[in-house]
Amino acid sequence: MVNLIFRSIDGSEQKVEAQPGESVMEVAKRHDIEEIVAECGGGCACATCHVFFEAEGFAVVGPPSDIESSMLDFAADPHENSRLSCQIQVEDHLDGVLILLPETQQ
Amino acid sequence: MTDPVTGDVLIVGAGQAAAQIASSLVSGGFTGRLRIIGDEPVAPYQRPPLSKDYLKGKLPLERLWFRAAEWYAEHGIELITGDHVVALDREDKKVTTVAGHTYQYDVAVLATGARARPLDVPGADLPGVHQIRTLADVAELALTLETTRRLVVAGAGFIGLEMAAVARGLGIEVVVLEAASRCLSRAISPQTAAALTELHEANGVELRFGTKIIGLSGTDRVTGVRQDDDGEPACDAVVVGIGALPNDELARNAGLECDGGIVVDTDGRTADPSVFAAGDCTNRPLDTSRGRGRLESVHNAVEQGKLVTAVILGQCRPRQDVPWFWSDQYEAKLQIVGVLDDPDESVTRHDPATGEYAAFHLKKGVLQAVEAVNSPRSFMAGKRLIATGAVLDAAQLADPGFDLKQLLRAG
Repeated sequence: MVNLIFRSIDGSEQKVEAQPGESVMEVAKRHDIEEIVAECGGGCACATCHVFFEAEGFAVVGPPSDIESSMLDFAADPHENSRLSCQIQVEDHLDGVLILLPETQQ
Repeated sequence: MTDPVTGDVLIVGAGQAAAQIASSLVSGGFTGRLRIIGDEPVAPYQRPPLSKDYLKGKLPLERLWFRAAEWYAEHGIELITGDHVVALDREDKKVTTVAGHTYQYDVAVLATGARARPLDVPGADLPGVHQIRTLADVAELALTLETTRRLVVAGAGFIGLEMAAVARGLGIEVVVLEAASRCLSRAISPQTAAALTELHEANGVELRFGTKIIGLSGTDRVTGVRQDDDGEPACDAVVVGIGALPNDELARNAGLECDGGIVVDTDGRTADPSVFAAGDCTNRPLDTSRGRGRLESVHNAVEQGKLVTAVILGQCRPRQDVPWFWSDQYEAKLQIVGVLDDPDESVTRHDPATGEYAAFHLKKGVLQAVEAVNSPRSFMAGKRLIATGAVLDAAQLADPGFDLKQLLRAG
């Protein structure tokens, strides 16, 4: 079991349990985290599953791929250390990572 | 703003739009009762992977569901599967299903989607002939593909081309037959159609245009396809992807206006204030010269689902996005934003170093649509630029050395 923490822009947090084999986006959708829209269902085609990290968390999840970067460059609410959550696979070493949610995906 | 509905909401259909409405009603604090009736024997699921990763065996079934089956009951939603609504009685506000049940509603949402257009020629019901719309379709198709050596694909639309790509990946020979003079003639521009044709040919697909299928041959199963130009490609399987028909019969029989889809207004409402419609089954207002039409996309189902939810909850209508669509073929990610509407200027942007391609379509200098292949930057920039309606310099769009992001910072 991998524990993830989602923090909204207003500071409220949600601790959820995740399994290796799913994406962070899928975990968020499963737990009704509204800030993650994920319209294309995880195909790296829409950039509405955008999340970002503090330096520590970003070091854990790693940088985005080239395609991800291109999409993120135009994300609605840009932040440093951004990722598309559909491209982050849940793995054991993500346990305890803090995931920051943007205000909007549009 | 409308008065919120607090009674019974009934959704006919259990696809993308229905799943969206369910989610949005729950997160919007709906206090009434929601009932969903779908004719497939399963909970709502994502269709796009059916012709992509799921067909390739790269995605487990559990990841197709929008929500686990238990989610519905947990949120007080009655999900009825495997039953089909056959009549809509707008006077008594009730529906009747093929199993003989009747359900009352205060508000009904028709989210009946579309069905694959059947191939209407002799032999079309032979074993080995498939369509791709439902999970059940793909279960049958996957079995066939295990032993298919040579596949004929009827139709060079998105389904046909995605099928061709999957089949080539499995080492199957593919012939695509298309009645129009090029592929994707409804959905994309000639320029991008040419680029995709090249991609398929480079992957060993044989495409034949301007040819109609007049029959399928075989006795116990399909063995070949007969064309109107005397072509007779042999095959051991056929996949038919010749378009989708909106499931608007229920609405039509109930006296609601239909025109290539159930006619709805900007609130997703039909002429009957208690009946809405959302998704592939609708004919909706559009920002094009025709003023309305049917959009067959996930984005449209999601957007209309959210819109109808806002109306039901008496909340502000959500901001509308520019329509967009995607398709995965081989290593190519095709992303389309906007709707082609007789552009008077089209330019393409091609970066041989990165393989990025994009076609920009403008009318009076305003960007109306972008087709991008492996160019997420062009797609994402295009989404914003179409929304702003700014007048653009086509030469900049066509120049791979020009960073499109600059256009977003300007003005």
